[in-house]
Amino acid sequence: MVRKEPSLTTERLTTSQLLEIDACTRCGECLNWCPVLEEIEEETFTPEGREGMTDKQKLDFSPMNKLTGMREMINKGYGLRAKLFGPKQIPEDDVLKLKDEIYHCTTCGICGTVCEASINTVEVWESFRRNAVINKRGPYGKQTGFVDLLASHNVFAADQEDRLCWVPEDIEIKDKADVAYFTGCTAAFRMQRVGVATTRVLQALDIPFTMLGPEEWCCVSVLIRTGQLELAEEFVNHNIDAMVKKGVKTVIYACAGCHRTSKIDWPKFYEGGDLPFETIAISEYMDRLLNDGTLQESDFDWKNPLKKRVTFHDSCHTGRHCGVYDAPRRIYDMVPGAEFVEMARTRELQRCCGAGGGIKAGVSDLALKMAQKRVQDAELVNADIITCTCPFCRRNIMDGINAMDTNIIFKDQQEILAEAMGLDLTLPDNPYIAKQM
Amino acid sequence: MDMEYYSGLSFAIMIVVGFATVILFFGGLLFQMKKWGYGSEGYGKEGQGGSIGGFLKLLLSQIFDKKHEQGVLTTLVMDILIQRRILKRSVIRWVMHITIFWGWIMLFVFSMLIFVVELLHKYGGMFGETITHGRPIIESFPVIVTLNEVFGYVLLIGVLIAIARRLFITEVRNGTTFYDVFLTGGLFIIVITGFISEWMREGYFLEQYSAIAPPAALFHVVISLLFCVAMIPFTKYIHIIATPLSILTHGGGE
Repeated sequence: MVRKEPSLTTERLTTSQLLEIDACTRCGECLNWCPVLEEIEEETFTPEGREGMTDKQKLDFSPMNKLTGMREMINKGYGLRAKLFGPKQIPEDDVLKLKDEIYHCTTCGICGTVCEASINTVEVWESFRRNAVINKRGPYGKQTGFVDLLASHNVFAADQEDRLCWVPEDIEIKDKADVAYFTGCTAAFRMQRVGVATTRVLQALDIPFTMLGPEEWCCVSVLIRTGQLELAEEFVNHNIDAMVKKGVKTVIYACAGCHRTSKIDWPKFYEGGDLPFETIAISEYMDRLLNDGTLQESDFDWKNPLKKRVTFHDSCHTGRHCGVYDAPRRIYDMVPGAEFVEMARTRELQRCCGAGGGIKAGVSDLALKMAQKRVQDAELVNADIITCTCPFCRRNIMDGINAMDTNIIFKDQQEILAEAMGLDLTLPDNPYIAKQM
Repeated sequence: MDMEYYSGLSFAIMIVVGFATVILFFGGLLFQMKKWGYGSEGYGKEGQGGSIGGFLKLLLSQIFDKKHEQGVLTTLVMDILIQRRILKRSVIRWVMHITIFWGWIMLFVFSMLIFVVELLHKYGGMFGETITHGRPIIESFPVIVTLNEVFGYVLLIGVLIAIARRLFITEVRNGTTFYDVFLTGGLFIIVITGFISEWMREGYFLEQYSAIAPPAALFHVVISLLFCVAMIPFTKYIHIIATPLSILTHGGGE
């Protein structure tokens, strides 16, 4: 008799991840922190087709039960019984149910941060998602559109030749430099004010930099987060080669998503593993220059005191994933008139805004509810401005603000810096002005 | 004479159960390692086809990865033996887990110690002066009797906290599955049968039942070996092995 294949294979799961799935002690700590589960339990959001769930059923969306579900399915295919009598077949609907639950996750990583067993949950979810895509079960909802969009080499299907259309004429972009500013698709086409602010600040601080322009392709965060890796290697290697050609030693980011992807994911696709340059957040870079004396606080020529109460949202990608917490705060400490205040959940225990992991595209109503929850956190500390270092968080939090009756406004860190320094943030005329968020 | 050993149990029965336990445990462990060995060596790579060697090689390379921020010894002490990751999140859950962890380990060590003494006495002729014949061999070592009792209570405290959490915290109760009940329930039965079989001995408050103390002790020992050792690779108890390995491969830390 020919033995059947396991219903859920171990394809794309690493040896460590299979071990980690068995390491979950089901202590339940992740239930206290998962922001998606919070929305589901409070019934501010109900996953499609799961109306009328009991409290017990809602827990299927918890990291703990997702790991249990994976373990049970893998054991049915590879456990003792499977070895003796062949894999036990699992109804496809059950596998799809687990797949949907695992796609209802922003990959914010807080479950891994608080995990007693030190499980790298984000990597487990992403490997499972890759497995789902390979087996034609994933991705989820509109996430399928990412691959087609990236035929243009950016996530907005914009003309790559327009990558630098937002750069003011008086900004000098070096042909070659030690430092490169990786803009990211969102800042290049939808939040150009962030790009303008970043380049203005760099120039004002006399930091020579280069940019890839049309040769800057999407960092492929959206593909990696959703398990659609077909194009990833090509894009990653293209970007790395383009950086090498420009003699870059340090790539700086004002986008948390691009930063995380470059730092953590690119080496997985790059032959040899170690990138030929370092990848750091712009706040880290400034912090370093201030520490080594290259920059002095007096180099920041402050013109406009902020006179606002500011709170900082650690993006999951720069914070929990890359461990950068102090450097961005140092920037706010320098800005004159900025009254900095922390929200209840910050740093490694920060609450995700809901934008990541493909949720903004795949489950947009969930992303909106999560953004509103984060804005409420800012309201609780009476902040005037909620700020961040991620254009994608910015987009989602602004959606949250727009859906609420609140006086809070959002500003990117580089915008705050540029405005306080009195720099001109006017966008040059370009084809994307009407599409700015 | 055989019946004098090990709480009055037949030595032969203990040997058979002991060997069966060891075979089940190590067989199950090898099987689990084979399952883990179906995974790939790294991101995007092909699976290793269930290679135990591949799994072990990768495991060691990850445990001793120089990129870890702290040494293996620090991880072993702070994150596995002291379990600071749990302490950081919840004191009550830490008390629960640390008492179960150390209670289980120390009782296991004492049991093994007595078993070794028994073997040395039977086949090596040692401890002849020390051992009181006609009584459970453990009673010839008062320090171990006391420590055994102390760690029995330590384990009981942990198990009772675990049961209370499952019963009285709504979210924990809702999340409880048979998988959890099997572990907590199994431990509870083992601890309770251990105490009962001890209380049935002479000098304890249940000594009127001393006639059935040997079979009660036999029941306790057999289920202890089956639940707490042999079943480890096949149940939620696998976390006893998988969790420390997961922590070590990630380099521990808070």
